[in-house]
Amino acid sequence: MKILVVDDQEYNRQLLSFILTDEGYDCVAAANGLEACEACKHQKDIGLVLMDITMPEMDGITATNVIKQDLNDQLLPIIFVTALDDVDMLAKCLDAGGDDFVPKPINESVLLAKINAHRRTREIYQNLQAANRQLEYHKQLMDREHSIVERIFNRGAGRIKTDCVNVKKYTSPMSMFNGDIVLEAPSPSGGIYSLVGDFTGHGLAASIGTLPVTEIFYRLASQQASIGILAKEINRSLVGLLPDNMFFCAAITYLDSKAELLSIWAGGMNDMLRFPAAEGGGMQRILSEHMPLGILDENEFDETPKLIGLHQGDRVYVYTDGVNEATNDKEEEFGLERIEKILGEGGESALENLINAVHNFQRGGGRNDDLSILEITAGELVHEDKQTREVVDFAGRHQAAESFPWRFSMRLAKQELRSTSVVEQLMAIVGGVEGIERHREKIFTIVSELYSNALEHGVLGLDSALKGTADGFEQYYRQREQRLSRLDAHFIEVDFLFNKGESNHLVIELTDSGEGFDVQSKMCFQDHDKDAFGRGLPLLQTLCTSLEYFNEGRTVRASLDLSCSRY
Amino acid sequence: MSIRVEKADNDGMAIVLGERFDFESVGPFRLSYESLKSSKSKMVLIDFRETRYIDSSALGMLINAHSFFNAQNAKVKLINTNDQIKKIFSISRFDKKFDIS
Repeated sequence: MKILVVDDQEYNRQLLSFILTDEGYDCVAAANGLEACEACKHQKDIGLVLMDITMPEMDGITATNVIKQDLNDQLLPIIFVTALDDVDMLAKCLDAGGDDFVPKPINESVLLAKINAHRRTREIYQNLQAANRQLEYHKQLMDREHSIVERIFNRGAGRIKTDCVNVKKYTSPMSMFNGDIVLEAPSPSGGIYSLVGDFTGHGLAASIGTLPVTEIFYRLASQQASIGILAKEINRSLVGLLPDNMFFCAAITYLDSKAELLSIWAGGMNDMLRFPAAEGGGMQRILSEHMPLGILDENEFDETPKLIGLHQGDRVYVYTDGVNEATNDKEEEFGLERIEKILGEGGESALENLINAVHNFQRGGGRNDDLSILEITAGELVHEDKQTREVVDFAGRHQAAESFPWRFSMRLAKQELRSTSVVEQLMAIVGGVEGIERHREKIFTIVSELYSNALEHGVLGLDSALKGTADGFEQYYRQREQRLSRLDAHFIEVDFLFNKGESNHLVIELTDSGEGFDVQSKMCFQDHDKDAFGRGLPLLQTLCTSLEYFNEGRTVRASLDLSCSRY
Repeated sequence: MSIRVEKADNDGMAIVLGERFDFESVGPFRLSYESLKSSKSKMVLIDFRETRYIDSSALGMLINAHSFFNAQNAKVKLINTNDQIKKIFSISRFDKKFDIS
C-alpha cells in the first residue's frame, strides 16, 4: 500500500517515511496541503494519508476537506498526526473528514497498529465495492432482458387494435417477468376472449412459457375457436415444451357479443367470483374444474368448458393466487375473505379498490408483487379503437372483408370418401379465411348437408325412407358404412369459390359420380312434421341465398351472401 | 367430448352433446337416451351447451328421441342452443314440437 506523508518539517517526513518503508509500505511525501491535494489527485494508488495540521500554503484541515470532496465513492483514510491537547482542534479535524489521530510525539507501534486497522477497513470496503459493481452489472443485464421481454409482450398485445370496455384488467409491473399473463382479444363476431394465467416458478424462466400461449391465444381467437379448443391447443403445446415440474394455471373465457353466455375453461385457478347486478343476488363462486395446462396428455385432457348465463350488469372476476397470497410484514396472507368482501361492495372502482387494498396490505415489508386481476361486466359488448377511442363494429367489418377472391377445388375418391372427417377438414381449410369466420356454423351445416346428399344419395344410392323408424335410422347408417367399404370407382368433386362484389359471396359446388335424381319431385317442399327424414333440402333452401341442381341432379351449386346476418 | 348423461335439477336427466352433433353421433346418442328408460324421469334435457355444429341427421335423431320419450310419458327440452342451431330448429319447425331454449 502507498502512504502519503504530509508535513512541512523535513525531519518529520523523513522519520515517518523511514518507519513505514521499514514496514514494507511505499511512501510519498508532500510539504504542505496544496502539494498533498495535488498528490492525491494524480496518484490514485495512494491508500492512506498521514496529515500534519499546521502548514504554510494550505493547512491540513483545509487539505483534508478538498481531498475528501474529490474522492467520489473511494475510501481514503486520513490520519492526523498531532498533539492531542486541543479538543476543539480535534473536532475540526473530524468535521473536515479526518478518520483518526496519532499523537505526537510518535509512538511507532501505535502508528503501525492504526495504519493496519485502517488498511483492513479499506480492504473490506474494496471487496464490498467489487461485489457492488458485480451486482450493478447483473442488475443492468436483467433490466435489459426485462425491457426485451416487455417489448415482445407489448408487440404481441399490440396486434389487438381495440379495447373492450366491458373488460378491465390489471397486472402488476413485475408480474409479467414471473410468468403471469393477462390477455384479451375480440372475436370476429364481436365477442371477447380473455385469459388469466400463472406459470409455476419465478423469473424469466417462468415467463418464457407465456410466448407460445400468447401466440395460440391470438391465433385461435381470430378464428372464433371454442374455449375447449383453445384450452386443448395450449395444453398440447405446453406438454411438448415445458419441463415436468412446470405447468400453467389458467382461466380462459369467452363472452358472446350480447354478453349473455360466458364460456369458461379453468384449470388450477382460484374460484372465479360472480356478483349479480340484481339486489341481494349473492355472490357465486365458479369452481376451477380442471388440472392446470401442460400436464395431461392429449387423450387424458378434458377440454369441457363450463357455461354461465349472465344478466346485464353482472360482474365476474378472475385473479391469480398472487392476490390472496400477498403477505404483510407479519407474514399474514391477504386471503380470500378480504377479496370477496371488497369486490362484494361493488361500485365502479371495485377493481381499483382491491388493488389498492392489496398494496396497502403489503406496505411495510410484505413480499410477492405478482397480482393479476380481470373484471368482466355483462352488457352489450362495446369495442373501442385503442387510439381513436371510436367504437368498432366487428361484425360489420368482417362483412366487407378485404380478402382476395379465391377458388379451391378437390376431388375425393375411395379412401377420402371413407373418411368421417371430410366436412371437418374442409372447414379447417375454408373456415379461417377472413370474412368466413363469422359464418362458420352456418357454412358447416350447409357443407355437411350438401356432402351427405352427394355421398349418401348420389354415390351410395341410399334411400331416406329407411330413416322412418329409430331402428331404420340406424340401419341407414349401417348400410352407409357397408356400401362405403365396397366403394369402387366413385368420386365427389368439391369446389369453393369466394366472389367479391357489392357483397361477398361464397359459392359451394359439389358434383358426384352417381346417377342423379329427379330434381323437380324432390325440390317441392315436403312437410314432414313427424318424419325423421326429409329435412335436409328445405333446410338448405332456407340457409342458402340460392340453391340450384343441374346435370340431372348430379351437380349442386349453393351460394351464400356473406353480408347477410350471421344466422 | 362425446355424448354423456348427467343428473339435472328436479330429478330430471340431461344428455350433454359434444361439439358436433351429426351422423357420427347416431349410435352413441341412441344408446344414451335408451339408457334413460329405467330412470323414470319425467323430464329429459338435451343440452347443447358444448355444441357448435349440427346437420340434418341431428334433426332426425331428435325426432326419434322425441318419439321414444313420448312413449315413456317424458317431456324433452332442448337447452343451451346457440343462435345458429336455434335458427335451424326454427327452419325445421322444431319449435312446435320441442321446448327450445
